[in-house]
Amino acid sequence: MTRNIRRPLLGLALLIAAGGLAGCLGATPASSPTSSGSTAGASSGGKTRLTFWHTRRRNQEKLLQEICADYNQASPNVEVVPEFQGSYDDLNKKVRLSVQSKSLPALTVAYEDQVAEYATNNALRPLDDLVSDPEIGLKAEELADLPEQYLRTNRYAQFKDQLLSFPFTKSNLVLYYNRSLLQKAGFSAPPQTWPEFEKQAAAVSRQIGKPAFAFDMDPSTLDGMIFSQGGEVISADGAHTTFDQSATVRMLDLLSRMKKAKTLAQAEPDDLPALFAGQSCAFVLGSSASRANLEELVGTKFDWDIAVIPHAEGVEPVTVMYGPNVCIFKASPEQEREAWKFIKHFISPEVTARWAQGTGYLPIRKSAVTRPEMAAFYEKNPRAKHVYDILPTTKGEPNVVGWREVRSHLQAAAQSVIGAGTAPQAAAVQLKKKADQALAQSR
Amino acid sequence: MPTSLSLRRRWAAGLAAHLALGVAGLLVAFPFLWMVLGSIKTGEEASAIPPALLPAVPQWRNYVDAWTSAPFPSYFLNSAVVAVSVTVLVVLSALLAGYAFGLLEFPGKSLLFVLYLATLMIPFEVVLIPNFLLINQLGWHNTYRAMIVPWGASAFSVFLVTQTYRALPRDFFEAAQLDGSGHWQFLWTVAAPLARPALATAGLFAFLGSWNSLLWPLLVTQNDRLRPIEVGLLYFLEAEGPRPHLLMAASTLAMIPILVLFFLAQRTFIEGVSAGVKG
Repeated sequence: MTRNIRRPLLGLALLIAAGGLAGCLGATPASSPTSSGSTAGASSGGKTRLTFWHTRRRNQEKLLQEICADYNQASPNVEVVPEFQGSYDDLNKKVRLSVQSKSLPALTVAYEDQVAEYATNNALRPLDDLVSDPEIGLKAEELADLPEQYLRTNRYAQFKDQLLSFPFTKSNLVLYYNRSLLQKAGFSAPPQTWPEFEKQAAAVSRQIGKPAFAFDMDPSTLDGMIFSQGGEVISADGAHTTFDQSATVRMLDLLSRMKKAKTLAQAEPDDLPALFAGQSCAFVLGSSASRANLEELVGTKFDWDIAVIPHAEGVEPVTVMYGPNVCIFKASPEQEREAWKFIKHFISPEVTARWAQGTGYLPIRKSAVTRPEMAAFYEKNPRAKHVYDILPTTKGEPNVVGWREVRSHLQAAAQSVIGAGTAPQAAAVQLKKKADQALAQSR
Repeated sequence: MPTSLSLRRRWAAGLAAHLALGVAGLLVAFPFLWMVLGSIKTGEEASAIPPALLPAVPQWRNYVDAWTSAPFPSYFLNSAVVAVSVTVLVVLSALLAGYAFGLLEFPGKSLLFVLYLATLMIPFEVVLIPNFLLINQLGWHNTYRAMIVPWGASAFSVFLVTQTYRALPRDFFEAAQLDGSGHWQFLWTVAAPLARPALATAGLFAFLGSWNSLLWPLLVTQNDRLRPIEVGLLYFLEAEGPRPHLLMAASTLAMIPILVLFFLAQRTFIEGVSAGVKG
């Protein structure tokens, strides 16, 4: 380092360090007024401040901020402050730490297994009495306006069947298919059943010289494939898994056959849009939330569409419901009521329609679909309408404590079948053993 | 006098060494090259499979788009404040502790030094929860303090400086004492300049570690006002569709201060690493 540059650099470093150390001594305005104790509902200029932890970025975060800003303007006593906290896993880590340090926000998004985890720490505010409150609750017709499966998945049998969370943003597991490639291979419609799927994948694979099915080992996708084989993943009482039943074996067998036939190629989730848009595959199973990104990537290069995932013969179409819910942490009664009022506002037909258009997620309310702006949106985006049409076939995943670990065992089982060539039956038996142990240990 | 055979052998050995080092250098540099090339591709090119090495038309605009997509000026400033503060604290603590362990004699010195080094064996994940709880108890959540103070000392840096001082002849210190110099004067006039390579190395590692930190700042901050650059890069990662070209552009921008610092201090850094190896 030359002497000429050393001193100015050293001076700059010391200046910045002085600023940082001044921050350490608390002389900086960066200190948050709510940095001590709970962040849930500190007062901000006389208003009740409700922190809302979420995982949205870019345009979706902007839209969420706009919705909150509009709500705050209309609500003189409340300020909802949305704060990005990383991915769902990062957010989950932060909530777990915050539970121990008693510095929880007012609201957070969470998947069902995460909600169950927070419930074991007695951190959540059950919502039943808020939902049925005569003043701020939902009327019977409003409750009927919510898809029944959205509400059911937010009731937790392990916790006295209480409503511990509420639907926030929902999507479906769907089949993305390249209609152009299917037509070239001689197929006029996407596959309805798994045998048809195998047949179409084989034909397209021969044509393009690559595996037609790009497969991401997501546990929710695997759950959906088990459902579509006519099976379940957990017993009715939630005490043990049902992975040793024939549906799981058939699902694993399908993956094994397709891998051996070179009609299936495993891919990373981030690579799936590029593979599909580059016509390196014809089929992808994924969340309908990726539709908007695919519209952008594919453009008008080829014709493609969305369908419900294939099902076994003799089984009704069924798929998995994606998307997190929102839950309220325990705080003062006033803060809890204000948090619920915000949720109620967010799922109102007007706001949920706005959210659906801006994000590509599904509207939470059935009546939102009949609003003029949603009708216009679906007219302009027919694939988004196809996603909505799949909604009646959706089913939630288990919402029991310990399901997170079960998911990783399910993923490992599928990986052992595809990667190491483990026999599907053996993999299913081993999976059930490990999954049941995980459930038992979590109780 | 070297024969033509031995000259040819030496030439061949030199060529082989250069080739091997060149290949190794390319392998190490390739990820950075890929990042920079990805930063000037379109979104489609950056996501394409199979990937193309070069963009069809360089998209320099990606840097502008990345910079204006999120509050990157704020992220950079926060990273600078935190990283420089941590660096200053680490260098100071390493100097003082290294001086004590390297040049002074006091009861329990060896045991204390071993305990200090033992902290290197403890993974970050183990101390994450207790550190987070302590930060909250102190009321430091969502402040610069939370990102600076826990990282203000480094056992590795202390080890580096200690080894430097242990390699010094005792005569230096005794001569200074004869001249009437106390510990404080000796430290700042003789010991600190002599340990400059080790301190520069310690500072560089501390700066790197702090600049690249993601999980801890994400956990102890609540909003973009205080978040550093690594958290800011999450802006381009989204489950519904990452923006790899903008992420690469933002990552390249984030890397620039590190590169500048290394190029300015590389000679001192290499001396420091060598001194540590010899020590």
